[in-house]
Amino acid sequence: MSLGTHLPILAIAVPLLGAFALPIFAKVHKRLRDMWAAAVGAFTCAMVIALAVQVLSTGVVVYTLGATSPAQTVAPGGFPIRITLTVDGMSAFMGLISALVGLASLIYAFQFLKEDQGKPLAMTLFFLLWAGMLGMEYTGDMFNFFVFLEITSIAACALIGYRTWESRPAEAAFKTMALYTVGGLLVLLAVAILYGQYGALNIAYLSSKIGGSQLDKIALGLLLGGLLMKAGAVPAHMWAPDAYGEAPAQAAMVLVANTQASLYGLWRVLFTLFGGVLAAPAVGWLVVSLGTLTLLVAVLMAVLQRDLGRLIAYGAVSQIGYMLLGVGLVALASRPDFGLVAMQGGIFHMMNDAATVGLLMLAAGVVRRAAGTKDLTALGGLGHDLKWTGGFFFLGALALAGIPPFNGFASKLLIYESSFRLSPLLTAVAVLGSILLLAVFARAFQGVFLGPKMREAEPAPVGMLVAMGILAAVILAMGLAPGFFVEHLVTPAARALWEGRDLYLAAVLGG
Amino acid sequence: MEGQVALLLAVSLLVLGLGTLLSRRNVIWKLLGLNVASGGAALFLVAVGHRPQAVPPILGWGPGPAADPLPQALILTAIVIHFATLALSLVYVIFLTEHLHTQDVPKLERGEDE
Repeated sequence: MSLGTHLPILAIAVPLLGAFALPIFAKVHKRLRDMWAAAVGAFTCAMVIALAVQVLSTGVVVYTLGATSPAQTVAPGGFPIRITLTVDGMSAFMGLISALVGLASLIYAFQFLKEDQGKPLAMTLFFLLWAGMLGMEYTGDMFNFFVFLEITSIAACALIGYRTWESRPAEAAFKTMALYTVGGLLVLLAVAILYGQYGALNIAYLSSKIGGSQLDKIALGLLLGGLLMKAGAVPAHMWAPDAYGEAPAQAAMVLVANTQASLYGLWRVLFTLFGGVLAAPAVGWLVVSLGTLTLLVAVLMAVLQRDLGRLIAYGAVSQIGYMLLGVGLVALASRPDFGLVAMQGGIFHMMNDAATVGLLMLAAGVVRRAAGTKDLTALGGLGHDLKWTGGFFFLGALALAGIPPFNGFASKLLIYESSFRLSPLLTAVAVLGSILLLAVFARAFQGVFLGPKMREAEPAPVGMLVAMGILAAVILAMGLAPGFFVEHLVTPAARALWEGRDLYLAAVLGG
Repeated sequence: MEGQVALLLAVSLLVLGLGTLLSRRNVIWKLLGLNVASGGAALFLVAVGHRPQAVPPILGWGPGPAADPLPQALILTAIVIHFATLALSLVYVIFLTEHLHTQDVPKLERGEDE
């Protein structure tokens, strides 16, 4: 037995074990707890990266739980009875995003969380959320997907309400929990409908059987509704600004990665589960219009915000709009070339968004820690003491607005290019959104960091700067060499969704 | 026949629960609605596993076809999950009641602006 064959399950099981063992170690000693958390974090990242390398070099990795050999696939014409984890290019790509965000969040958490405010419990919840996200991304089973979805919901809501001594986090957490539960119910109903028709839960098997009956369409609608709710797309976006604004900074950025895991579920449903029957342009139009609406509404709401946390939150929601727009275009694509470009744009944007929004949220966390408030009218002149943080915020703002040469420009250009071929109007809306975002964040930067010095601010500790530095380095690398990332990471992921359905099915169901 | 009745009941529970969630202003009522809807979803899954004239899926329960045992295993998981979400939400209701002394959603949202 070698470690290499068990990578997919280890990437999920290790953070899960880490989560529940952490409070025990915390009882023994603080140092032991921190070492354990660091070891679990490092090991999980190593697993995810090793798995990504394996997938990108050898193709789809299937891991069958409870089989005599984990690499066992179903015999041709056979019936899958076990839970499988199926990791293709797209899953591996999403795993990398989760690992990056998780790592930065963990480093930041060491110094951000206070000992007397339940630090070990917050770390436990973070590991649970991480395990749930990786599980959603790696699983090849619909019910398993639902279970991991609910694990992320519970852990995420517990983190949103982390500041239990205030009333607003509890209100945000309650609202989010109610919406997540409804979303989860819709997914569960869809799973029940699919199971009732085909007697299986395996994504590959279901995909090979789905024929586009009326019940299938209902199931698709339920899955779309449930996953869009969790992704925070308009009109179910109300939870997102509250949640991002009230959660501790390093948890808020993991919440963003979590919405992306839901989006991944959506892509998996659209292009793999229903990939064989999805000819209806109605679904594509629905996703494109929801995406455009999301980005427009979120950007306009961002203009009105006076709270730094909520402003960034609306920025994060608007980016979900760009991803929906990019990938929604694929479902409408009649010509292969433009479909693949749109897919690349939407998928590349997921990674950019995770890094840039994460960086902005961490910077906002430092601001809140230093000044004790996130109210834009009360902030100012923090750049004198928080030089690095100000710089990171500026970098994040430019990248989010899609200014060349930063990474946001590279992915948005792909989306503009492909949307232009469908309708120049869509491109105009998307560009307008970017310009407004730039204006909003320029104002926020100027208001928070520039101007006369108003108060003494405690500079950010090294750990927080390291966490922001990692994200900033990724942003710069992706901005300066987008070609490398597109070629080696984004294109395999886009191809896995765009034309990899047959490979995915064959890997699970056998030749 | 029983299958259709169970499906109909499940869908009515879902509609009733989600309707309560949307229409009531009290957070406890909202949670009750959500819980009824979860029960509806669980019943829906069990009803999906129904087969005509089937016996419970237990070894030695006599001849004839057995009901599909998998949905029954699935709803056990789903029930546990819904219990966890309900428990967590109730904790937030306790916190909200302590902080703002109300369970009325509009008042809770106004409390946010203070």
